[in-house]
Amino acid sequence: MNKHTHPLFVTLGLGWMLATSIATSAADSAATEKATPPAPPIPAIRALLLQPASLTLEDGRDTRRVLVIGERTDGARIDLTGDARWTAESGGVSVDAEGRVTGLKLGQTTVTVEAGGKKIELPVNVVGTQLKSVGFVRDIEPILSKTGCNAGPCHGSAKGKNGFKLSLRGYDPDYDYQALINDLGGRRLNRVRVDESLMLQKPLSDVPHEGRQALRPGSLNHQLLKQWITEGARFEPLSARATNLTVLPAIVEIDLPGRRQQFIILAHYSDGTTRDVTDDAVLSSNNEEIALVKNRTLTALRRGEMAVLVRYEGLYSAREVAVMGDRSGFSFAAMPEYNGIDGPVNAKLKRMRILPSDLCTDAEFLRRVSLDLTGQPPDVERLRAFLADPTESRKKREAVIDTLLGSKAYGEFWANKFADLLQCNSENLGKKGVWMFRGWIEGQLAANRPYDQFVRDLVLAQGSTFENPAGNYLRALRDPSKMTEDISQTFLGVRFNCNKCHDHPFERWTQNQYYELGAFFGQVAFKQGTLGRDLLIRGNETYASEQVSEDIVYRNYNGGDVRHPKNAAVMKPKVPYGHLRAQTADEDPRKAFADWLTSSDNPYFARSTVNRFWSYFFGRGIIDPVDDIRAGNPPSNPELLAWLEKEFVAGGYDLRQLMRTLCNSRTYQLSIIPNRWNEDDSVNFSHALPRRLSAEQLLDAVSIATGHRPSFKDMPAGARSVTAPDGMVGGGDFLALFGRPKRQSACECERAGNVTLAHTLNLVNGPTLGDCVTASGNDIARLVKAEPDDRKVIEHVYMACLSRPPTSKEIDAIQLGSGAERLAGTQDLAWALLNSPSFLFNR
Amino acid sequence: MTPLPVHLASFRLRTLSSLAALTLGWPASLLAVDAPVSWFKDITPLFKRSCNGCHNPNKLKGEIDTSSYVGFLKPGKNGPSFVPNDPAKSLVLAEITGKEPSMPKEGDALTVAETTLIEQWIREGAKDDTPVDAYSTRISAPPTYTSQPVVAALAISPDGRWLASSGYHEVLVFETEGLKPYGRWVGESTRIESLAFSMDSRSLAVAAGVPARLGEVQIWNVETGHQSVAWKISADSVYGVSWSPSGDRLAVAGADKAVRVLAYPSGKELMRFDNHSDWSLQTAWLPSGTRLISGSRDRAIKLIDATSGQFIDDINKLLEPITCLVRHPKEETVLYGGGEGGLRIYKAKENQDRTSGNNDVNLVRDFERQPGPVQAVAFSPDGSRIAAAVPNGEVRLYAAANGQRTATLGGHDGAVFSLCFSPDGTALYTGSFDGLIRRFDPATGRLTAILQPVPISTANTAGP
Repeated sequence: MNKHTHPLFVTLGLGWMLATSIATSAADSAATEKATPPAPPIPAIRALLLQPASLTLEDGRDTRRVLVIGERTDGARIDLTGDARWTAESGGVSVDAEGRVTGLKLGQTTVTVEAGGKKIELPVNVVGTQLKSVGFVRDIEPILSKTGCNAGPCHGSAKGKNGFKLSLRGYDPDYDYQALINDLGGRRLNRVRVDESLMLQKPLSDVPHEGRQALRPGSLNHQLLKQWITEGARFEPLSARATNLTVLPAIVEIDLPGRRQQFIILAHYSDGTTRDVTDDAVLSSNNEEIALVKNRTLTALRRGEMAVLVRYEGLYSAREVAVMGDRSGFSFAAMPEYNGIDGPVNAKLKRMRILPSDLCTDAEFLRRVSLDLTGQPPDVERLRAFLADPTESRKKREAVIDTLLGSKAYGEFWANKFADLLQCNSENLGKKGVWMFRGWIEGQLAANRPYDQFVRDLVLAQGSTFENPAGNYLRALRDPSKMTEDISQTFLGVRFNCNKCHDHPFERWTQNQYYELGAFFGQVAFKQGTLGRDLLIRGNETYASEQVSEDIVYRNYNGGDVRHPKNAAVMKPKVPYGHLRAQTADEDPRKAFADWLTSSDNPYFARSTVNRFWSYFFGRGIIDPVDDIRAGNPPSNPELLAWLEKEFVAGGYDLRQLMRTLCNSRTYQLSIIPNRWNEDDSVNFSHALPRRLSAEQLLDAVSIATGHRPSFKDMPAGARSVTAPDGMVGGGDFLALFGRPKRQSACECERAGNVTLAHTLNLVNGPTLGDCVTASGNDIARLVKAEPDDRKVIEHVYMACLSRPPTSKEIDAIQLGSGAERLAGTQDLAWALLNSPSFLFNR
Repeated sequence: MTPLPVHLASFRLRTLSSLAALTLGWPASLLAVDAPVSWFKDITPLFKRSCNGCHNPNKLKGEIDTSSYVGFLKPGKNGPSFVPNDPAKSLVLAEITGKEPSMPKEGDALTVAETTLIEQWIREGAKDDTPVDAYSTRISAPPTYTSQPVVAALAISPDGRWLASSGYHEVLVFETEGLKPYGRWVGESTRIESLAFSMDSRSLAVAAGVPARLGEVQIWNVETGHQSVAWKISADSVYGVSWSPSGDRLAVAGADKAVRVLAYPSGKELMRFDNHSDWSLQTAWLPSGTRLISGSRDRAIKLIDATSGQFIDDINKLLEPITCLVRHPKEETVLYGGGEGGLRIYKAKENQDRTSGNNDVNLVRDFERQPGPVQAVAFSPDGSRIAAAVPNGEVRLYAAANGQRTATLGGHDGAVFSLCFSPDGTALYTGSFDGLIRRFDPATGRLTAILQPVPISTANTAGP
């Protein structure tokens, strides 16, 4: 990482993923140092199963394994592969202590497998024993990956190491072949004395090699490399690359911490053959708190869910694993199902043996749903009315959701959210641009424009940004690279920025696809129009002119070749997956792209949208992070996600309906208070998760609690913070400190939601909260003056600050003071409540 | 037999297995009381595995070289690595022993058995028993071949009589007339990287080396076929060599990044230039003999004062690694081929006229971009044509005047690594991965001859 500061690395802290890619032995030794619980005893086994149940061996190097599964007397299954003993019943095959079976003689034979006190026969059919010639793509590239030669910190780094550079993790076999064979006049191979080849001497440490001894002398990999050079070091067609992976077993549920689980990875090739690549694939854990993965074996550490990530030759797969732990005494009680969300949630909770929390109170619900839909808590009047309403709780909750969804505050709040994602900032758009763009967005939300139409308007915009403010989106992104990256991240939840420079290291996206996608935007051009500029009094000031004048978004027919950086080839517009409709000769390529993007056949469009909105209401995506959908980041509840996706598409991409469905679910209305059986759950939505108020929510909530609104630069008096068009207009240090984004990135992570000492100190001591509490003539001052009953004052302050009435115990404990002190005492109470976690979090 | 109690049995097992591990890890020399620990047989394999990656003449971390006894003897940054007979004062032991030894930085720590062995070697006097020829790659007879070595270098003498080609461990020389074998000149280096005849055609300079071990310049007397000098100048290959116009100096470029000017025949280093930040690969003299240029993987073509070693300027825009370069036969321009497929001609002069609007003022011609790194370039003797070798096995000919491609030479089985025009311009020789030398007519692009430079023995004596 010393070469370039990697955006993904910085924003996601994906250090662990990179760390696993360094020298495998280093990673291995680190993993073993972690304390692992002792393996629990093997329970009584009634039968053994093998997966796969038989083997066919194709050639002399076709070495395969099977998994040995023990069926417990209660029917549950555990992996016994690591404990099995293997005996070949004839000389037809050899089998080593770890269960690798290799064919020696043609014909049928069996291997006897013993484990857990039981025996089972493994039929093996040897159909070939010859040693196939060694191919670069099929045989050599995997060695470079497995031994770590092409890892990021080694020769895979952008500058290579010590003058030898390989493509990162072997994404470009053609490049790697050139580097090994043609670079420096064939320096790295010696066809005359193969053993003197530098590509052998270096990894064997026969000559100094800073990257340690990467190749064990005499190992299979050493032999393969040597044979490859001897056979002429040939390149075979790229079609020899594996096309997909199978991970065995298909379902992994582990009973107890300490239990081991082995995996088998099969690679499939376009000629129909398969190969057991378990030893060459790279397996890692996506959560090392729950389970460690070393080579092919997982060790469960504690109860929870995780995924084993599998990588082999540009292919990625993941296998989800549930570690159940000791759940004796558990009995499941499903929560009532209010709508289609609750069924899949119940099913998952039942499977994981998690008991959902109770329903939240009406007061909790009103604060939660108001913050989520409108960005501000209810005022005291609304709260009193809601609590006093005798209608059945579920019905009145439904009603309030509908009221909030149609409100002005809703449009303001969500316009602010979309303005973040669409990068509405005056550095890019000018002062007038941000007002117009934000206004356009709010209008779309107020009209509940179908989301697919809304996105089409953004992607296809052209003309004056005054007449069509949607054009500000492309204007903010500016160049085809940023359009490629941000459109895919914002509307598909897929990150394309890695594959600008190399194939995506954790997904199947390639560098070619990056530039093919970029080619759709190659002809998008901008020029300054005359509107606005002519109205300037100081005509020669470029800066001022940029601030208030229009831009024209147009199609430049003559421009915009997007070229691949490797060979400068002009890229043709192409989508990375799915079907792109035929285009007419003179059509703007963006049109076909927009059709593809928003098509109901595009699996990422609806899925990423419902998942993103889910995270806004539940504090966490079903896939999380929400804008990083990939094989290695599987959904915690695929059925739930599929249902939401289907509903969203069927309902015509109706955002308001989506939010209505989310809020009306029982799952959304669960209490934050956990029980014994869900306190360790943070991914299955069995209880509400506390979420820190966003910067704007926080400031608006302080304003509602105290009745005093701070005024913002260039904004009308009394304006809510969410109506500021960007950070340059309105705002101030408080909002910046609490994480209001600068809107320069498509990443959700640009908005900070953490709590640090600086936040706490600012609330305790900072001027913003203090000024609101003590402002003369604010609600607190008026209340103290008008209301002689201390208990009523206390009750009001509680409801204003925390959206709930105080308990009688709380009322009894508080002394406001008398005379001149009474105001100060009430201010102190409000100040204390506004500094409590109950205020700071949406609970 | 009465079965042992379980805990005793397992105790025994543990003891036995740990004993076994200890003994197996110890070399025979330790077990035999009389034999002292051998530096060469016992210590160097451990260093090779665990230390030499960083402590070798090309890296010298901590100014320590563990890759040879002579190197190890030299004190490092913190003093001598070892003091014979005195393990306590030997810094090497402090580094590699203890619960969490500071060395090696990568990979597993040395085992107790291994560090004990090193300690004993020091206690016994830390003697050097490296055989005289241990690191030599000298061979006595020309090598036998069972497969073709790649043709990494080619040169034709200015009088047109001799064609020299790289072989394994040797330079193969042919008479251009009839392509008859003339000499097999066997030297110490295994790889021949480039070849340059002197202007009088009487000497052949060879840039050579053993990858990651030795860099060498050899000069051969063409008439006698004897090696007149062999200068070992670095610990990795030397890539470029060129004669000064007066024939009394050679400019040399190599994997140690340095550009050197050496006096001929004394071998004295007259100038050393260390401004390149990556391997320097080729040099060329300007006609005056007072300046030279060097191309490097660091992307720069540097203009250098040949006498003082003063850096004058980068003549080019730094776009891509410079993989090969050649000077125009008459003019002060240079043609280079780049790691990203660039093929350009530059004026070999200061770059001082550059402005913010144009920082590439020396560029004369930018040819079409090649499909991959350019492996070799050549100017025809009259400067009218240029040739470039690209990884797909093609050699492309262009008119220097307008940049138009005039011919594409194919038929190579693998990439072409070396190119040279005959002095009369009627032939272009190519040397390829497939081990063959081909001769083309540059005017028509027609293949006129194929030469297999080394004899292939059918008997399997060379071994893999």
